[in-house]
Amino acid sequence: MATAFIRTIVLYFLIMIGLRLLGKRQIGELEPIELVLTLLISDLAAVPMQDFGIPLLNGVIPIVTLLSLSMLLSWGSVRSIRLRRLICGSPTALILDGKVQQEAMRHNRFTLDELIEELRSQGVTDLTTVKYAVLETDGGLSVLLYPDEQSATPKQLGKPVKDDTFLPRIFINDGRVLGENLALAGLDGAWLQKQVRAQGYRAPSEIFLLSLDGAGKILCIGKEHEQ
Amino acid sequence: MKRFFWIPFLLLLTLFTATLVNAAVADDLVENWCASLDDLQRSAQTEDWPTVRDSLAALHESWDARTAYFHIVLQHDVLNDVEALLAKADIFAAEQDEGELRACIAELRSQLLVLSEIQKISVKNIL
Repeated sequence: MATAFIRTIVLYFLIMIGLRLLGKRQIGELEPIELVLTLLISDLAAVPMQDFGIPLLNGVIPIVTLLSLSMLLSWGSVRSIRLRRLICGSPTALILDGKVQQEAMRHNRFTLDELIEELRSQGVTDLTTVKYAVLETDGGLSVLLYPDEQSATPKQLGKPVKDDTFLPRIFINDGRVLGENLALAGLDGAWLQKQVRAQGYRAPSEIFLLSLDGAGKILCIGKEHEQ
Repeated sequence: MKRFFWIPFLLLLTLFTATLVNAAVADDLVENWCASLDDLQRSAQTEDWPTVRDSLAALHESWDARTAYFHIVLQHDVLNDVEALLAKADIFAAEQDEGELRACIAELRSQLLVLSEIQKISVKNIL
């Protein structure tokens, strides 16, 4: 029992660290090679977790090897376009200038039904409105409509728009003061304390969320049990 | 950027070196144990049972000292087989049964050679 417990913890952290090192892309949409890697790692980790007759190293060594190889290939593919194409493949246009590329569809074993289904899932029901449809290397379909089928932007309409989109900076997260964010915003603890009082609280520990956006707007949410 | 090359590269290099060192250590240990088994067999043939028992005790001691290491790097069934054969050899030595001991030593030797064989980096093992 203890062996299973400790082995599971060791393998869990090993995979967590490995996936963290591989980057965010690994957790989101997977390239075929990354999918294979993820499946292999999960299988390799499961065996020594369950079978105590197999040394933990038999799981750890292949996992570390796979993660290292994957990191090396990622590094290589960033530096070499040829290697990147070899590993990840390249995007293929299935619709080019409004014309369905049947040869490209056959080459990618992509059926007409699948194409229509993908377009439908993106809210496109009329094939003639699509200028480009690109099959990405992760298997997703990027669809670009003809300009007259797209929603008009304020820029296209020649209307000036006030830029009111700001990324808020969080200063208090669940009662904890994020000093680094305060310093990045050029503010200090005294300013924060003043804001806390102004919001009707005595200390940051009573606040669930306090953030400030670029327009100077403060959002403050108190902790439920503190109110 | 360079760390994305050096970290995995050094990890792979470390793992490869560790596998080579492990193979060499296992080979060396097994070679010594096989030599001890040869001595043991010679002593058994001359019916020098006190020497046989002493050699077996020494072999046991040497094996026990490396058990943890082998448990970390090897599948445990292989180790259990060796331990069972060592226990059998003890019984045959105590009974002074030279025939059974000879057969047991032969089996033990082949089992020990398996330990070293499965650690080696060879085309046969890889394929």
